[in-house]
Amino acid sequence: MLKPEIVKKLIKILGKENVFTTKEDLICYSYDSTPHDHLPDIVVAPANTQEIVAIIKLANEHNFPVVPRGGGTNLSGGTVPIQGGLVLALHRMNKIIEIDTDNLTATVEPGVITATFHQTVEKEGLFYPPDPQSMFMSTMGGNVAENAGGPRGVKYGVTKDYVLGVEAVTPTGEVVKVGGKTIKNVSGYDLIRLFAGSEGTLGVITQITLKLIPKPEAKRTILAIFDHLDDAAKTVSGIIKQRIIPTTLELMDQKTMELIEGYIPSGLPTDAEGALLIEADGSAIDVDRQIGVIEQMCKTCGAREVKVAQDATQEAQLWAGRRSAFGAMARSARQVLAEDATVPRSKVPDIVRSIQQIAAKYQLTVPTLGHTGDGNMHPNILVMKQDEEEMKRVDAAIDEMFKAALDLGGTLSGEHGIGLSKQKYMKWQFDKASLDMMKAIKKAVDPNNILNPGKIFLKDE
Amino acid sequence: MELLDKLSEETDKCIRCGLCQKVCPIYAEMRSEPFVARGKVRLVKEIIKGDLEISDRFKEIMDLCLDCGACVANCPATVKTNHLVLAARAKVTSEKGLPLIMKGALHGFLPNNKAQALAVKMAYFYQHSGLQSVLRKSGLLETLSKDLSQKEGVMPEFAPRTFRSMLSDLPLKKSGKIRVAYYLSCMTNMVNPDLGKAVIKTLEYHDCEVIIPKDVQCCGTPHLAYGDTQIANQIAEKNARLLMETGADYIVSDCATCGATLKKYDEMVSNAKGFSDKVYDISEFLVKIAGLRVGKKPVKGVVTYHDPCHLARGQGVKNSPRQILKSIPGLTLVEMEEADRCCGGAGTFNVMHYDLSMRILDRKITNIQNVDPNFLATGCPACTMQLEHGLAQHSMAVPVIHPIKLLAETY
Ligand SMILES: Cc1cc2nc3c(=O)[nH]c(=O)nc-3n(C[C@H](O)[C@H](O)[C@H](O)COP(=O)(O)OP(=O)(O)OC[C@H]3O[C@@H](n4cnc5c(N)ncnc54)[C@H](O)[C@@H]3O)c2cc1C
Ligand code: SF4
Ligand code: SF4
Repeated sequence: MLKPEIVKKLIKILGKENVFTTKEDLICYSYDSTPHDHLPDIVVAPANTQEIVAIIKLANEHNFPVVPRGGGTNLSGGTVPIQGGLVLALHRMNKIIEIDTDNLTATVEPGVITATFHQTVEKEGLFYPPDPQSMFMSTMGGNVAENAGGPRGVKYGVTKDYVLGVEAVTPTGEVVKVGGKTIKNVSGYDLIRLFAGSEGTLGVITQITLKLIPKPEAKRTILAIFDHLDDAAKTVSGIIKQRIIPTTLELMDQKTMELIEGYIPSGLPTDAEGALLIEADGSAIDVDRQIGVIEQMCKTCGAREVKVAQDATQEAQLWAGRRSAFGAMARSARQVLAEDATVPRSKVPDIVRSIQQIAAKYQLTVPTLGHTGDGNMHPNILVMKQDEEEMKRVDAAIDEMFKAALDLGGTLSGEHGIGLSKQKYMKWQFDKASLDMMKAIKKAVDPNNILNPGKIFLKDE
Repeated sequence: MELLDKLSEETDKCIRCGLCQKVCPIYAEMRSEPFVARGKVRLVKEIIKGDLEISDRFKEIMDLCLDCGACVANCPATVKTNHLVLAARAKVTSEKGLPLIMKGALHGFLPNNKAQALAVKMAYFYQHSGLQSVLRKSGLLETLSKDLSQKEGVMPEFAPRTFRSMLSDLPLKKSGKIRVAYYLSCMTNMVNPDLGKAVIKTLEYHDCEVIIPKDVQCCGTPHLAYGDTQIANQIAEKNARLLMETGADYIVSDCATCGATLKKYDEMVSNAKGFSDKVYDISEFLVKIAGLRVGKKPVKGVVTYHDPCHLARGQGVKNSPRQILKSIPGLTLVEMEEADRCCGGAGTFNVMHYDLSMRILDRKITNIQNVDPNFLATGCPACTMQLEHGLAQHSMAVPVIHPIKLLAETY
């Protein structure tokens, strides 16, 4: 509970209608897309940077936590106010401030929904490639704070590759502006990269300047079915050796296809080890050339079936299965834990096999999807009962999956972040010196541990 | 609490993915978590668990739902948020009674003239449709009754005679290939007897024998919306009995909302076993059962189609009305964007929350404007009133018309 005098001050800063204290409101800001939850003491919805400055100064004065929140769709417990305090709901700051067609940049407030941003720039013939599959719910601020990626990452990179400038309120209530509209910028430390993936612990991002590129003229899709996972992996490296980088290289494993077919039959085989959904983009002529090479490569590498979409309807058909994958999983379980282990591209078959072995060992169903092009795998653990016994098996399986990923030279998280969910694995991936450096940075900018405390690092480490 | 308890499993299905944010029209305007399905589901869950009590804020949140079903259709786990919300409202009503609505009504629309015009229209409709019991308890009608006499100019064009009173003079064919019971909706009865005539003409053109039980009542939707389950069940029992007694092979409705509720009778009352399987929306019936027959007379122009929530998602009927419109000679169907997005009418939602409803409606009107049609077709009277109001506010002279009326013009 915050003292009444603090609530009064907050009302003065934000206006009564933007300060929420009923239990109903607190409950609604106690969770995100993970199973974690904890009630905040208060929720406020600021309208601008100045209000945020005032709120953070107040928080430092009275020592209460502040947790920034966008769409609340992160998969790591990032917006759960685990130590209570104040949730900063950023939905009112949702203006697209500028689209600069001369410099191919855009400047937005953090609460802009990713898909709205896509649609707006695409109307100008421009393109913002990062495409987290939560784009209709996630915010641009949340995307930067989690450094979100998506299927297009293999060709176009992830959010941080498009951030040219950031305005943020520091944990002590100062406003910093770093970067700008230039592509090249080596003045000083690269603080933009520091904010990308900072998970709301180093500053509240209040304005973002993004790089845009011209919208590709055309795109086409291929679906290739493989009896053996290794052949699918060979295909991926084969295509890249031909100097073609597809826009997406999505792998579905056998379990995933079984679930999809049991839900919305989409013509996927249930007896094949995997399928690759490949999309290429570029100029119309070049796309046709790329598709030709990719089709040939799939066949050479042993695909048992290759389907090339000839028009938009067929393209939609090929994607239909992949699009319903999440629903198929959600329907068949009480909870879906979307994990995020990522390995070097060449190790994809190994990690998929490890995941399957671990799943069998702990009697779990773990359909795996992945952005194979960049080795970003999503083993989705289907939790059926959610009782203590099952959760023990789940935890053990997750432990082993991360070990396997790290052993293969990979990382804990490709795009979902650490938050609360992966804290305990941090010391597996990082040596003490690296962890200490990260903590030293946090301590230097947030001496009172105000901003999103209790995340990324375990308390006692 | 019973009804809610049964829904405990339903709340457990939510995996908190947030995908409902994409489609909820209320969330699009409010942008804050309590108003999206994920938030509502969570709150209902806490009520069931006993960790939260019914409060004014809880009621306020549950009231802001259009029952449009968009969240359910888009939910990977198909969580029936709209059912949860209706059950929560029933719980609120049983604990707190209805008078709070009056507060909402007083604050929401009385200070606003445009809102009043719409309210008078809706209230008049409710008063005359025999469903006023719910609204009477709310105090809405009392507050408005004075205005009613002064505001005759803004009332809907009520028909000089109700359809019900015309029935005895209407010669109905006594035979046909299929026996169809036609459920008489309040709106067709009071405002749009021409639609009733068109439906009969169309059904008979399709070689159906039409039987119309005169004593059916309002379908019970408004009662469900305000949490008055008891009355709703009484109505369902009576209507199901009257319609079953006709011995018809099929039961057909020309109102999207009535149809959706008729299709739920078998879940509501015990005497309706097998009843709901016989219920069809008129468009669905013509296309899927009777085999669509179109006449030769053309209807010239461009038509765009608005999907009523209770037809598109409530009954899964999207293609049949479009197929009918496309088959009409001289008529071109041009799709608007977001055709199946709620217009914001939602029964009396537009009266209780006028400003919010109008924001939702504006998006619909813009989508219609972009097509610039000669006709706007839709198969729901509540949508029709809402859309007519919006078009009038934007000075657009586009008639809102039921697809069957356009079809009947070809004969
Ligand atoms: C169905 C589904 C699919 C998904 N697919 C993908 C995917 O393909 N790729 C991917 O990368 N992720 C994916 N995610 C995860 C999630 O959507 C992303 O992490 C996204 O970037 C979160 O955005 P948000 O606005 O919801 O942020 P939130 O969940 O609100 O916040 C995330 C973190 O950012 C911080 N934060 C938010 N806004 C700010 C700000 N303005 N300033 C500072 N910190 C801030 C919060 O404190 C928190 O730590 C998916 C999630 C779901 C549910
Ligand atoms: S889409 Fe369904 S499962 Fe996902 S948060 Fe909304 S109600 Fe829950
Ligand atoms: S039924 Fe419609 S208004 Fe209600 S929560 Fe679902 S999408 Fe929103």
